[in-house]
Amino acid sequence: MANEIYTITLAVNSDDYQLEVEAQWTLADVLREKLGLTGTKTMCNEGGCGACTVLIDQKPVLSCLTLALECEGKNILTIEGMADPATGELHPIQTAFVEHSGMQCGVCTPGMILTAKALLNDNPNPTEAEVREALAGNICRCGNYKRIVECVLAAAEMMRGGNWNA
Amino acid sequence: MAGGVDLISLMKDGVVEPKALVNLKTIQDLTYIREDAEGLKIGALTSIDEIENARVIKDKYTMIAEAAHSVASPQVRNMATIGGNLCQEVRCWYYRRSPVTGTSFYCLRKGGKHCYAIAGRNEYHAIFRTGKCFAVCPSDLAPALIALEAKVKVARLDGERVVPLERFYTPLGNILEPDEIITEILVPAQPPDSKQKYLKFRLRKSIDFAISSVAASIIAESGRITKARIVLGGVAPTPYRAIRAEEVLKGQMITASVVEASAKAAVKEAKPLSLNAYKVPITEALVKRAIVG
Amino acid sequence: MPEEFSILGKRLPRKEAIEKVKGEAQFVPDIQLPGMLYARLLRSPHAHARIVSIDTSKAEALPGVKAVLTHRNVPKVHPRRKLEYLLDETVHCAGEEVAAVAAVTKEIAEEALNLIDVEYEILPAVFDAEEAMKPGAPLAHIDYGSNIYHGTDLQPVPRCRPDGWLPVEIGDVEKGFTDADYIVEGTYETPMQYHCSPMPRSVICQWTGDKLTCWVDTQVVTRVWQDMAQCLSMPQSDVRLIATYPVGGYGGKEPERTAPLIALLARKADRPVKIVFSREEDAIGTHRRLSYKCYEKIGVKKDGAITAIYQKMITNFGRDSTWPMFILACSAVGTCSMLYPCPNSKWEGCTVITNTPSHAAFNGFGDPEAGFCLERIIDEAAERIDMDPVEFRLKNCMRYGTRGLGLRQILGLADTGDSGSKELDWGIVGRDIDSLQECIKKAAEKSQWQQKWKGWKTPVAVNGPRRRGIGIAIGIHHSAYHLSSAVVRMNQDGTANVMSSFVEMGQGFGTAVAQVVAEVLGLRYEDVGVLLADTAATPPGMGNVGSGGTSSGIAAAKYAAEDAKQKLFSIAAERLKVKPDELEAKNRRIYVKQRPAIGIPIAEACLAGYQVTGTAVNPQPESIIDEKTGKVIHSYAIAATIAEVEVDTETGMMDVVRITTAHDCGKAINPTIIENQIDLSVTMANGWVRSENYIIDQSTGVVINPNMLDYKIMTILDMPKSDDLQEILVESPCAWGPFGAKGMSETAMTTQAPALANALYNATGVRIRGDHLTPERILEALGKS
Repeated sequence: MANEIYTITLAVNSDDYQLEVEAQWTLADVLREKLGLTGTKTMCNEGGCGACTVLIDQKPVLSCLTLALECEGKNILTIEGMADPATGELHPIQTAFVEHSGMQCGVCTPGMILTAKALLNDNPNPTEAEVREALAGNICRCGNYKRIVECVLAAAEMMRGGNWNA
Repeated sequence: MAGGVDLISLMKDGVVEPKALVNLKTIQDLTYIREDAEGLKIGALTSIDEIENARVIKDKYTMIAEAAHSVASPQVRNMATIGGNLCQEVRCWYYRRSPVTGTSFYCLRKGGKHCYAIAGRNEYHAIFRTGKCFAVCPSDLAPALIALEAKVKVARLDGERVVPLERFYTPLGNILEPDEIITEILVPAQPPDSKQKYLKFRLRKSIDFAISSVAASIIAESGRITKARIVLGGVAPTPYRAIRAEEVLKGQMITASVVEASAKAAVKEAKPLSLNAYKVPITEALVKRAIVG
Repeated sequence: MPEEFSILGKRLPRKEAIEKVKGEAQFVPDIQLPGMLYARLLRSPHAHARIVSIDTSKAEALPGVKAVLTHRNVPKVHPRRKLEYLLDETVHCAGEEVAAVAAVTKEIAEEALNLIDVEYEILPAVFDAEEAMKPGAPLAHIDYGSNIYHGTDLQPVPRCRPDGWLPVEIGDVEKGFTDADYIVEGTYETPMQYHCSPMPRSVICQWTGDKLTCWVDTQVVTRVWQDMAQCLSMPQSDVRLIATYPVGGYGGKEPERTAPLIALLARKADRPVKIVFSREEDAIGTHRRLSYKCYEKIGVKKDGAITAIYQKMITNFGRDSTWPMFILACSAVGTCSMLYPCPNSKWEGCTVITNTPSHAAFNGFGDPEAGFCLERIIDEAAERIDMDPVEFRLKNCMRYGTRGLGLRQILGLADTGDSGSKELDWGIVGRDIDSLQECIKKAAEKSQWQQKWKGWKTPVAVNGPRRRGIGIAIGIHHSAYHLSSAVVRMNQDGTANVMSSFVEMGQGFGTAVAQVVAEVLGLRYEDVGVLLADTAATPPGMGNVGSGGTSSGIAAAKYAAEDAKQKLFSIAAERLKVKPDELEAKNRRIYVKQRPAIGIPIAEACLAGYQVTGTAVNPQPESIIDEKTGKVIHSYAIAATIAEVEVDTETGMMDVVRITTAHDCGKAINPTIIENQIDLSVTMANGWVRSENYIIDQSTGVVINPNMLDYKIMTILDMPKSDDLQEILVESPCAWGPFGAKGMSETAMTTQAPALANALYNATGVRIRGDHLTPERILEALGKS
């Protein structure tokens, strides 16, 4: 493809970024290389692992298979946007992952947390089976699935008890 | 480009190098699920996730919901469209080989002379030899829709045509001309007592494509089968209509021996390659289970 | 009197958890430096070929390209003292790098690769180990002269026989077989495996004047640092390696060739250079697990005693290795000579060079492979005498006083520097190994073995085509007690930093070491910071291999903390006018044991001392002596796993219903982290035999599935429900570890595959001796395909 440049505005977390992109650049690459938001990880780079998951208009999608160009006018949430923008307080899902050891190496963690956020948005009281179904596209090579499920269920309980907007 | 899930993957592997991308998602009103007297109408850009969760599909076209749920992963189902799922490219690891490894395969499907799978690693390839390429059609929705006698509306600049999905596929792809796109999938209304089942067998319980899948639509009156459509996925270059299996069932009661005979008939024409004979008993088992529901 | 710990044993949150949940932990691919260039590597399409000519002129002329390297302009050095040079004139596997390019963008670097013209002379290649052993087989490494690896001048293997076989013999196996009532024999196979680290290989190098800084994703920082300095002919003092957040190495994270190459590119281009392997490159261009083919024969008596065991192992070395023969030696000693200490045992193994990707350390380091072989024949032997397989293992398994050895001795190498001996000087395993019996019993109890096991050839349950089975396996792995060092630096506010070259790559080292140091110093957990894996500051250590994080790295940190404590006590003693041995430290205070009201804050002692630093080096492993026998205690961890599976005999699909693993850990420093590690090994071993398959085309040597869709890692839905993934920790303090704690991460990996295979047999009546338990193989074994 001729490397045409497009000027776009991306709404990521609570900021608007204006930048120039080539048509074939993926959202993952743009977030990481152009916006310095390296919290989104690329593990397989072809849609087979879920590590690059971000929320676009509250739905979990794979940023490595999404063109940056197509994201104009949409709300993108990355791991950097999970904590409260005003106070910096961790989101309950993040707190649960800290308290219940939801990570080992930490690469799948951002994707897991964002996918869990979308789940708890739709289903504030999931069963273990529902949590597993929701995370079926997120690979953890460190095998930490059991703890991750525990974290999501603990976060759900925290959120049901508090004032957090999922 | 619709959802982009397959196309961007192919671009990354250097399988396609488009000079331009046309974003289909800017076309208005191709995202819908409607039901009328004729049946179900799904806009080609409707996401798999929407299809999986649509009330009317879960209630009356259950097999489509089952097939949709089995696609890839939740994230992919949010991004991918039904049109894209039907048109996606094969997954053969020779065809998709990334050049960063230093090795590339200019295979038959790409225009070369040679299929590397025949004498190479073919454990995921076709057991039905309907062409010279042995990569399988990876779509989950295609077998389910074909079992329900779906049609697709194919549009070009100066008009459109309606094609039965069963005739949409060719051993090397599909019948779309370079200037055509699918705009709608039409599924005829099903009799209320029809039994539908989509079963998918894969190594892992998520993400993977089918090693073998079966879509069965059975209509019976007083226990006797009046109509049966059985379509296999993941085992042939196109979705494979198991006509012999259907013929065994016609006019019969659903008994264990009839079901078994039908399953055997489904794989009768199978000619496995060197490493994929295991797909035969799996397909047989799935056919049995899909018929019984 | 049992000790009361306030921090040890607690399920405290990980030290690095907050940055990981915020996405702020920077892995090497996340790091950006101003002016940074991007590197790409050109890879050979051929498995064995000589580079006749390589023309890089067009690539060098491409605007944006700043440096190009080939075998002609890099030093002729052997990174890690391996077989191959940094860039070799001959390539020895498909996908091996032949040139390196650094350019201002990744795209330009890639374009430059297409402009490099290489003419190859294709040489005959060999991919299968047994094929490579046949007379007349092509040489995989022509210069080496043989396909059976037997050491090199740089890395000799003194105990290797001239024909390349490594032997271990105890007693007289032939006599042992004649004493047996029954003999069982067979050939077993275990598969290769791709590490598939969540982050592919990545390195960044930056020169500042003549000093080099490297950010390297590795688990063996000291090793890589020493080796890089050597390859680049530089003093170590001018090379700095930083590995703050390496990622799941599982044994294989050692970019021994890539790091010096990137350093050379950076020097040539006079700009920082970064390389991040694509997933495909990582799958073919790093390392993988050895595959094994093992002929075994076992003799048993009717009462269940084992009279003799014979094992002959052939492994596929690949084109090179960072641990040549070590992994084989580990099998020889741990699983093969120690786990069931029968009086007559003979083991011989060889490792065969082929034109396939090189092998490296991989979770378990030879014990999972040996265990997958041994624990299947053990089950067959138990069946032969109609003995409950749990009973059989309880009767025959190792216990305190069983012979023990370090793997280096099998090779003829001493643990420290000097040449070793060809004689095997057996020590013993310590009192802590008696926990193996406890592990077996606890696993049996938790998994309800008594209720479920109905006897040989009787499944747990049958439901149409679905059959349930249960099976057991036990395992062993060394808990490396290496020379390692640590520094504990007190800060003026009374907090401390522990400095170690060990890494935090997810296994919990940073957390556990902070807990131990805090406990020793009487500080709180949040008072101890960790500074890891920065060679400018952290003292040398083996790194995180061989489950050595706890046994070696934390041990050194504990000694260093005790050293710091003594220094603090001297200062406090003077101020309090008492003797140092009258003092105690707890809750940020140093106080007089008999009169706790008399004391000073630790901060005060730090300020008074101005600089209080504790340092330590671990004692030599040979210095850990058993009081009762006077023999050296060798350090091992053990595990027992009972697996319950359900097999669909029509499709061959095996679902894993429940996995119960009992694991000894000496002393649980942080039970959550230990359970995390058990889960890791359980999941990885399940993947190893159920869904992962490192497929090498046998006619071209090409890896067919170098990506994560075709190389299948277990998903969350493929593992049992949370309540059915059971971890039991057994605390049986060991003689060498900090507070008796031992490293254990890899041992659970040794027990899974055979437990599944044995459960599969119970369910279906078919024994799979091959390398995978996939539907394909199960259907084959059932005669259905």
